[in-house]
Amino acid sequence: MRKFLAAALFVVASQVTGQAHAQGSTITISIPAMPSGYAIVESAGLSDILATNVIVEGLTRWKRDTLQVEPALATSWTANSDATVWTFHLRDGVKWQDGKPFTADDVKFTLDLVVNKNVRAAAASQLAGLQSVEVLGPHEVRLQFEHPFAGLPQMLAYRIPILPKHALEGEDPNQPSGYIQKPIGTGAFMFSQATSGQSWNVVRNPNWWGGKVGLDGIVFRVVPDLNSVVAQLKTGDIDVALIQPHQIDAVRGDTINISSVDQPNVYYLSLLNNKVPFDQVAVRRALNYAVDKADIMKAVVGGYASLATGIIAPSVEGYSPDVTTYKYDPEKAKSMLEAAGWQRVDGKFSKDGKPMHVELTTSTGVIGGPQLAQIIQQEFNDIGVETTINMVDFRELWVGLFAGRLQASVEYLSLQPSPDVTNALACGGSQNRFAYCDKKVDALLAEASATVDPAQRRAKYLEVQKLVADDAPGIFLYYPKEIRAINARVTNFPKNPVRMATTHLFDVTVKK
Amino acid sequence: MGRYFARRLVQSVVLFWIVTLVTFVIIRQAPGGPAILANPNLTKDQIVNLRGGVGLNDPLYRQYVRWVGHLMAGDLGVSFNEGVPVVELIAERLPNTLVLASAAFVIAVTAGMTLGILGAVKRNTWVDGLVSSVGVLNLSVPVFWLGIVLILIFAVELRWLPVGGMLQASQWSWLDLARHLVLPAIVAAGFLMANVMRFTRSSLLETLGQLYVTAARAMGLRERRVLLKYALRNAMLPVVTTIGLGTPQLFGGAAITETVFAWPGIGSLGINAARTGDFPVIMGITLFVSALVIVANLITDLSYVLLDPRVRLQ
Repeated sequence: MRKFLAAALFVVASQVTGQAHAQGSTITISIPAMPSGYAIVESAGLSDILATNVIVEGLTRWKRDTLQVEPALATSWTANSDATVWTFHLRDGVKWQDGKPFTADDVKFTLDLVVNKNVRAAAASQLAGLQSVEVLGPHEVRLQFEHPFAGLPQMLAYRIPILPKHALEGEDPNQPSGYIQKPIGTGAFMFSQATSGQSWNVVRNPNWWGGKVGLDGIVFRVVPDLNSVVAQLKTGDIDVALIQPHQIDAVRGDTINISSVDQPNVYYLSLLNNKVPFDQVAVRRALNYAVDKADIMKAVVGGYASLATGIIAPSVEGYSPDVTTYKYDPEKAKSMLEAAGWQRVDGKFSKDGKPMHVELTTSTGVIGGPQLAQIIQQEFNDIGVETTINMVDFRELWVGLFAGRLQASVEYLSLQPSPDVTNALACGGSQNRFAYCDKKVDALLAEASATVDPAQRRAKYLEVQKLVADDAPGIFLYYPKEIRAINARVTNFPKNPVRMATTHLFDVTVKK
Repeated sequence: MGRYFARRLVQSVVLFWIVTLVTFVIIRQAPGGPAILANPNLTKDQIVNLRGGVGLNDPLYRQYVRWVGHLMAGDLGVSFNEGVPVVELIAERLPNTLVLASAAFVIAVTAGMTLGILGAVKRNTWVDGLVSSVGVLNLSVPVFWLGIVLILIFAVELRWLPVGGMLQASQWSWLDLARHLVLPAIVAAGFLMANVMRFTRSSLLETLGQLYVTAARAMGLRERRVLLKYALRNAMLPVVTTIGLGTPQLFGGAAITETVFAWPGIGSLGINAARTGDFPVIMGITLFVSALVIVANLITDLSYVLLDPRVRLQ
């Protein structure tokens, strides 16, 4: 028995030490949850975006390493003078991964699905106002919008992939159980196998229209726990993962490269602009002066971010730094509040006998949210604004924001890389968490959207950013960088934020 | 016996029904709702339509009645997140949890009883002290911490064992499975093992002080025989209760172990469902685990009869 055990142990040990972590030119990317594989609904959120990006394609896509668009399934496009009617010419000779030809019917089918009110399409708000999709020929479609939409090519590059009509027709558009058994697209990789709770695998598409694909395949490995992600990066079980600033020191090593890229996300404190006390622009400006953004950024993300000036991030074309910024000045904050009619009684601000009270809602689902809330609470209390914190589940946070229930929330927006922030800032916009409403800004946003000329359009967005900064609908904190840990054997990984980078994995290779 | 069993069965069914009702009400009243509807990209119209689509616009009692109706037909609904029938999801994940739970069970019972006996026999020696400390440690150290520490030592530093998952991608072998199983099984076993050990030790100590044990020794029986044949069997009653009641916890408690080790079982499925408000999956797993607890209780009660002839069922 002893001999047997010793022998068994030896076998195990030799297996372990001789183990090759990843075979051939297949790379492993970690994702937090099991993808559904259905790119229209994306019920698994980021996990679905990353995984489905490699098998499906949109009409346009991001240029490698940039946030500019280039042709993908569409080879060219034109718009009428006010950008309400768009014609797309589709790539010829593209085949679905089951061999059937890709045509304009697929485009119409998919875009109709995205704007269908009974479908949980993740990108529904991106195509708001799409009235009709008309098939002009096998490789030509016309999109008609009820309002001008100059930013359409950018919007189409993100989260609006074209799916095969023949594979989805007749299925439940929210849960196409037949399609998700074997999802297909036109992309550089083909779905091969999914193991519930473990992995979602793809292999190279030998017939891809774009030419030779560098990798044999990709394994999307489900690792829900962030500490386990770090451990698996170190052992080489995972090649690519997103990590948080506090994990950098634990991950750093000879075999792992840490890099960071800009992404169009912004962290901020939203203020409900239609409720006391934030209906007074002076109060919103004063509170902006009360927050030491540089200090907060250093404390929470360790410098892996840049200071925010508004909703649009610097990596987005059309960003303007030339706006009012509110440099930390608590004394100025106090005097502004006094000038706005608030009295200081025993060091606390009140008006008509009612104290100013701020309730900061946040969630652990907002990375760094609880710390941000604590620091801001301290800073508000320091100037005499009574502040409490309300910690909720992330779902309650989003629902509350959506319903306009939350007076002040520490949260973030993950935006399309486009300066068109109509959804986020226009009166009644679907992502407007500030209840911000300004007629001038609305008019400018509408004009910009109707302007096809890039330079003129840009000028209008610069003006929007100026006006919004002056109005201070919230307190914009920072633009976080995305921190990626990538095994040194992986070469040519795109420098786009990863949720866009996975559309470009066809030219990634592995060092032999 | 037959009547007792029938009565217990009826009680179990009622209990089971109460559990489903309470769970149903709690998860639907909890703030936030399903994550699929907490998507800031959806418009207000869409949310109303979609709530209706998954039947959330009806009054709560109607939803519950409909759910029970489907349950009677063996239909647990479709997962909001994965779009797959819940029955399929559980069927796919359950074998993985069974593998982990069985391994943990074997470790917990054998190691727990061995250490417990050791502690009782070598009472108040350093062996006993060591055994007791191991027990206290296992009861007081949080599972996620123990899991991470073991991963750091055995997977990251020594590289003896894999960090997580159940199998290397696309290659199946028993050896591979066993290697992936070692750490999570030890972690999952911890709590039950400590309990089994403590109850074995204290119960055995009590039994060893009984007159019939002294009588057996006086008859000149060998100590080994006295211990295993006379004392241990009588000491087993509380241990069996611990095992019986603790076994379902291997499934329930597996949730954290499975998350730390990326083990694709129903525990990690349940955690993700709870996080994202995937109602049908939460209900399905609750149903399953509560059925397990109820059945385990029933089996525990019935096994008393086999162990102790004095226990008579009325």
